[in-house]
Amino acid sequence: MIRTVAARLATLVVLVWVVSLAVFALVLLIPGDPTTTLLGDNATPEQVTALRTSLGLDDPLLMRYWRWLSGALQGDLGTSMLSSYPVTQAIGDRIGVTVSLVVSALVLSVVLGLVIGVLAAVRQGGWFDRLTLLGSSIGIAMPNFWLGLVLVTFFGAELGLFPTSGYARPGDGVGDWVAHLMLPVVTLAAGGVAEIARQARASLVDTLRLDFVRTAAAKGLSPLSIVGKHALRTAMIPVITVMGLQVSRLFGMSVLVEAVFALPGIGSLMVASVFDRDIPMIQGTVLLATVVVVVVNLLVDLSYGWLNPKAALT
Amino acid sequence: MNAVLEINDLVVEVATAHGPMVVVSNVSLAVGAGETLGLVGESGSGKSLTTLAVLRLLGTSARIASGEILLRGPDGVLDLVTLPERRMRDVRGGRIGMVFQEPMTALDPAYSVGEQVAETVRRHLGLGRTDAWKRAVELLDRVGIPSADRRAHDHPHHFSGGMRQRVVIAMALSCDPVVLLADEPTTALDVTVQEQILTLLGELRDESGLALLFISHDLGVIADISDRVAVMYAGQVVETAPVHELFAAPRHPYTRALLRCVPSPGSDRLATIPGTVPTFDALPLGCRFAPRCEHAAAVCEGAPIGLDTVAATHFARCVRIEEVVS
Amino acid sequence: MTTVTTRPESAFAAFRRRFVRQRLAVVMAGVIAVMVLVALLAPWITPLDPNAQALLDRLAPPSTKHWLGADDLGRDVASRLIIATRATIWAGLLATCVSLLIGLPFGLLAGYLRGWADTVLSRAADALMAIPPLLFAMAIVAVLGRGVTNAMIAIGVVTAPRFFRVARGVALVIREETYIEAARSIGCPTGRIVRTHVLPNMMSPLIVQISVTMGFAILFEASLSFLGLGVQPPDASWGSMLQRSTRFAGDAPWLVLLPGLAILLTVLAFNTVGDAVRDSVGRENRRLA
Repeated sequence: MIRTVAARLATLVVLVWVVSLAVFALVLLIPGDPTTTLLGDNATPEQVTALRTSLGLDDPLLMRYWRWLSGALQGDLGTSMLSSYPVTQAIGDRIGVTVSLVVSALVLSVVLGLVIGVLAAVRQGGWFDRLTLLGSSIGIAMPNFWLGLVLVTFFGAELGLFPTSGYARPGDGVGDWVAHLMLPVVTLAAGGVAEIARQARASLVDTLRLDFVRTAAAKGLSPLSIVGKHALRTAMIPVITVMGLQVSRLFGMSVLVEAVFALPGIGSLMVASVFDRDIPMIQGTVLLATVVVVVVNLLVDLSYGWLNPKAALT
Repeated sequence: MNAVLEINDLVVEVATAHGPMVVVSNVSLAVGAGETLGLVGESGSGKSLTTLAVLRLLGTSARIASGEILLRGPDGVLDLVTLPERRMRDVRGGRIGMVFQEPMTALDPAYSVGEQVAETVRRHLGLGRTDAWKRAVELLDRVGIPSADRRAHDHPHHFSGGMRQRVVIAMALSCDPVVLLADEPTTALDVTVQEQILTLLGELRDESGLALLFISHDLGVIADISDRVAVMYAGQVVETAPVHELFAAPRHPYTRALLRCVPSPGSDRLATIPGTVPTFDALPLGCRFAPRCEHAAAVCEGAPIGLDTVAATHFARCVRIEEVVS
Repeated sequence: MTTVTTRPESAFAAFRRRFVRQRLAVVMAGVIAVMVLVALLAPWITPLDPNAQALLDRLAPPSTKHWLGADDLGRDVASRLIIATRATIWAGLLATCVSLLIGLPFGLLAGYLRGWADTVLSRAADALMAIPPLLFAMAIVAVLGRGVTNAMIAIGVVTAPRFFRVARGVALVIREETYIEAARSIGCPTGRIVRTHVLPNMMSPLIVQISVTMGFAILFEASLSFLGLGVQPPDASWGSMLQRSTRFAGDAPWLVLLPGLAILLTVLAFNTVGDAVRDSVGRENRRLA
């Protein structure tokens, strides 16, 4: 077990390193002279010099990469090109919003997706199963920001049940916090519910055909025990994979949801930075998001061992 | 004879795109306590469906269309065809145990073998966790798992095929069933391991006096363990007789052909039956074996053939027995 | 017994038989065909000039003049939806081609060469897969500049690992096939082996991946355009139409509903067809798909 974890950790380090190369290489992709591209033709020589220094453009490439990487390892992702505000701090100010959003959406997707998927699988071919298949296809194909817009139109303009924009800190009242997150979380979770429900259904349908499920039935176990204790545990393995992928998807999609609901999270920071071409801010955000995704996938990998002891060996 | 398990006129249908298709036609079988009935036939002859029907584990595509399956016990006779599902669950694993063909896939990979045996014990005998575990270890020891108290904690993938089949047998016997259904329990195993499992099943049957329904396509295995044999072909029982009589004086041309297919020392050439088993959507109206039978005549076609009494305990579904034997 | 001898069904005929049985997929293939046709003919079939502003028609509801209403600048929504189909299909094709051109050769190379080349390329693919695709695409757009071409190149790059995996998997399997060995042993040149054996075997998994990537790319084009990073005004895209619609959703709900339904239908069509192709591949080829 310890050896498995160590091996996975090593892979993780390599992966993050490769990603750091890709993220750093973004600066090199800037077409033409970065200063003109980023500042426009009307920049004053002082601005140009300041930018060259802040990006370290006059230093050798390897040195720049090393400085950026060693800084990142110590939690210093550089400073914003526009405001001289530290990137780490900008992210820290806003991460609470995104984490509340993504974690709530993940929990909702997993719970709802599993329940729907299991109910569809145990009555394979029934009306609920067919509805689930159709609904999950639509849920996967639906642009989630559009769902957000529809919800805003309906709940905001017509019913006024939930606030449709802005954020309230949990410290200023939990009720307000929940109300502000309600529609964004539903919006963000919809695709996840669809993907997890579809995978859970497919995987459980396959598992229910396996011999050991028949053995469990031949032992006289109740349907609840056959599905809940035996089939589901094996069926969960591909579902967990999809859940891991959801974390990456939710992180990306929260950009759109934050835009729709005007939430001050990492996503809106990213959008603003892209419009401003604030390269250090973008690099920091992408690197951080990737590290989160990679760590989650490591946890997913390790959970396989518990679900299927046979997998722990390999 | 007072049979513990008695199947009368069982009909099993499979749902197809063109409506239901009968795959088990009016099968009647009976097994007494301490007795072994060998059920033999090629794959697709309906022998596995017959056993699954006993436990009502046919799945969603097949169903029992008619017939009765009687289970005799101290508290009277139960008809398993009409028994409510909730009480059927007490029968499965409790009164009737089942051993499957594929030991490699019959166990849940996620739980230790001890847990899987103990689970059945807890379910039917109402023992607590500790007592159920103790009983599971005893059972694993009884079926010949070495150092069972330690091995009980291991997961199925740590065991060989033969050892896994022992675990499945321990599970099937954990609640002292009166009937054991064994569906090709040795087919997937090495020859030497086959022998050990057969011996074990024989011992267990004799110890506890359970009725054993043993399914196989292998006549050698059937000859080893059975007291009586029923031969199935295309969903019908075509011949049934005590084991010695069947092997010494087979009556049905199909049984005779099957026996010729068994490789024997001294003959260097393996006989095969010409033709193929008819599909269930295109069964002959008369004798189902007639298209492949060397003795077939006009009388074999046209109308269904009944089981004829050859001797008191010997029946065959053939109208030309006299000609066949001569 | 008489046996009727039938000519064995060709692999393609079997595939077609299984595909046609999936009604929804056939309908969705029709939807794709219509979308492509609309995209090709867009400039000639719009009822009105999609960019012509008419302030008197501002937020006009559906009428005989504006079948599907008008937007906040009085532009005809039906015409804009039609012209946006062109941008959408073009964006999808561009991203898919970029993805294919990166993923396919590297995948074949990795699977065929194995060893360290495979390790390096696979790690790079893993790393690319680990970055949330929307964030990575946004970062590339930030560097290269806003616009649909840059956005789609970005989407092509982030989806390339999918084709990489398909191609690598096929190359790995086929490498071991005996008929390849046989072909090699009779002195078939490598190029011919690839053309006559490797490519035909890849067709179905490739079609599946192309279809799914089209859907994915269209969804991302809409997302990036919604954020203002893709198609730039005054050109119409379903995503950019949605972006403008937010402010007028209360007065003109059709501005929100219609572009979204167009995106949903198109993505659904590509996904459904992709799934159906995968399900229609015979068992003999399934391990590759």
